[in-house]
Amino acid sequence: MSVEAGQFMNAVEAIGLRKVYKAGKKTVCALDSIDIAVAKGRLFSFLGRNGAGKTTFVKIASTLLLPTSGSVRILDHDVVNETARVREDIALVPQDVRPYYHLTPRETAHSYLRIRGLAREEAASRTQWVLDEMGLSEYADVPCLQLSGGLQQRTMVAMVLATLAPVMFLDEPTLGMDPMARRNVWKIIEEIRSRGSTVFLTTHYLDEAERLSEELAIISRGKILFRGSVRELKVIVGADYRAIMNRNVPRELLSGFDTIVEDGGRLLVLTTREGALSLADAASRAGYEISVGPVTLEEAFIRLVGSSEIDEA
Amino acid sequence: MKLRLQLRAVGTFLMINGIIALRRQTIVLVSISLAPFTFIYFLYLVSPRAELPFGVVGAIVFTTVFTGSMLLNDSAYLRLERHLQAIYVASPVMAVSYAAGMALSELIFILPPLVVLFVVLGFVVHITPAILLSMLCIVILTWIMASSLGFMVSSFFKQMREIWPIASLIFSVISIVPPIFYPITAIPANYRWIAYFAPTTYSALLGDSVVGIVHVSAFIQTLYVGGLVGATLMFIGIASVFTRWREK
Repeated sequence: MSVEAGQFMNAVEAIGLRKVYKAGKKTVCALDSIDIAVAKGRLFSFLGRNGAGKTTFVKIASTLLLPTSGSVRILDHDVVNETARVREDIALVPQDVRPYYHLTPRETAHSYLRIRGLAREEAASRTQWVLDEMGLSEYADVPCLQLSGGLQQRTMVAMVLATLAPVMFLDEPTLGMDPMARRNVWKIIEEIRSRGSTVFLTTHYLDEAERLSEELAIISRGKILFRGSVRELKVIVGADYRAIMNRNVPRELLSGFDTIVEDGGRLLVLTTREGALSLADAASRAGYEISVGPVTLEEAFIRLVGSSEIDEA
Repeated sequence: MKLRLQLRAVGTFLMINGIIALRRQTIVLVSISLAPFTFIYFLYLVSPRAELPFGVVGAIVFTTVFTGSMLLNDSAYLRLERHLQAIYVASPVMAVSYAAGMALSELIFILPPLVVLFVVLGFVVHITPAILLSMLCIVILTWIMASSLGFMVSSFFKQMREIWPIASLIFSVISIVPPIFYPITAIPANYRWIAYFAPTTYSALLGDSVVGIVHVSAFIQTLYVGGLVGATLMFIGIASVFTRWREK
């Protein structure tokens, strides 16, 4: 659940945030009256399809972009009127960021910590810590030019997470990383959160959001569709279990189930635990393959965002 | 404390963009040095020997102005292609610290060719400590002017493909077209006023008069100083107002 202003200090608080772009002769509303409150010390995920408005929000909240109207406050400081103060408290991993190719991961992280004001020794020890945690020690002194895209991305995430800034914005931080590297990043994100940092994450990996988030928001076409916990989202989509079947199963087998989503070449039936088990029983007796399990965040997301886009059409 | 943080940021940018980059990409020095020495060689071949000092002073001004072009390219590249500037915007680092660190880095790259050019200048004219000091002041003011212009212009680019033609156009207009490699008297008197619109004209005219290859009155020399200082302050002012550190 979101935290009301005044109850605790919010790390990130947006009220009526709106951003309108001019794209040629057209006006595009990238964000439309966004209200978000993220309590201090929490991990918040911001989910949505490409172009939904996630990065625009992150850019405004991290002082890269001016809003059209509305406000964003970081630890009670306004991002427009108290920009310098806000910048002392934040750190950002932008989307698609790449390191200086002539620097090594060690130099990349160390120089950034120095730039942010850390003493040489503190910067050196924190650099070593983050390189170890991110599994980068082996490559610490290799120029980034010689590293793969995934290792370069890890370098950039390491560089920013090492700051232990009070509020961190991570815009798709694990894009292009292998599964083990992603888990290293998750581990260190959880570590910095336990040290008191607030983490604002955008990601397309919904397993990542499900694993890490305490709360999340889903945005579609500039508007917030949902705000709450993963569990609350599953309640909203009206199911906690799902059954996956081949799309050519007879429809009479599915009678009595309201929420059936076509997902590629298969059918996704969202239902209760009892409903899923009775469907599994019926399908097995009729000789059809079926897979039953708890609804994932990804399935709930597809259901919510998909139906909102159908409604708008 | 905050000033200390900004100074540390400037020093660190100088280290990572200038000193470490130069150590690992020495080949860049060759390409940077090539252009001014090519101009000198060309002038040596086609001009009367007496005009060679104009070419050397011009090469010093040209090389210094080139830092603006390099800064424009580098800062646009780091912002658009590597998305690194965003990390510094969302941090306590001020735009001026980032720009100063980048500009100092570019200065590091032109130092070796500048030293060679000053040595060459010593062969073609008689240099006293006062002349050397005056020439260094001209170099510093020209560097600040070109860097301010380069950093400001770079902040307007939306994509990499725009950079090359626009950067080439701007820096050709201010470093090759004006009377930098040739005396201003080579321009017909009726059109000479146009040259005074180029800020680099003052760098070259002042340089020519300081090293004694053009003799002007103290009053005219003061006007040249005023022109160079004024142009530098104007570009600093324009850059501080119009540079886009944060997008709109």
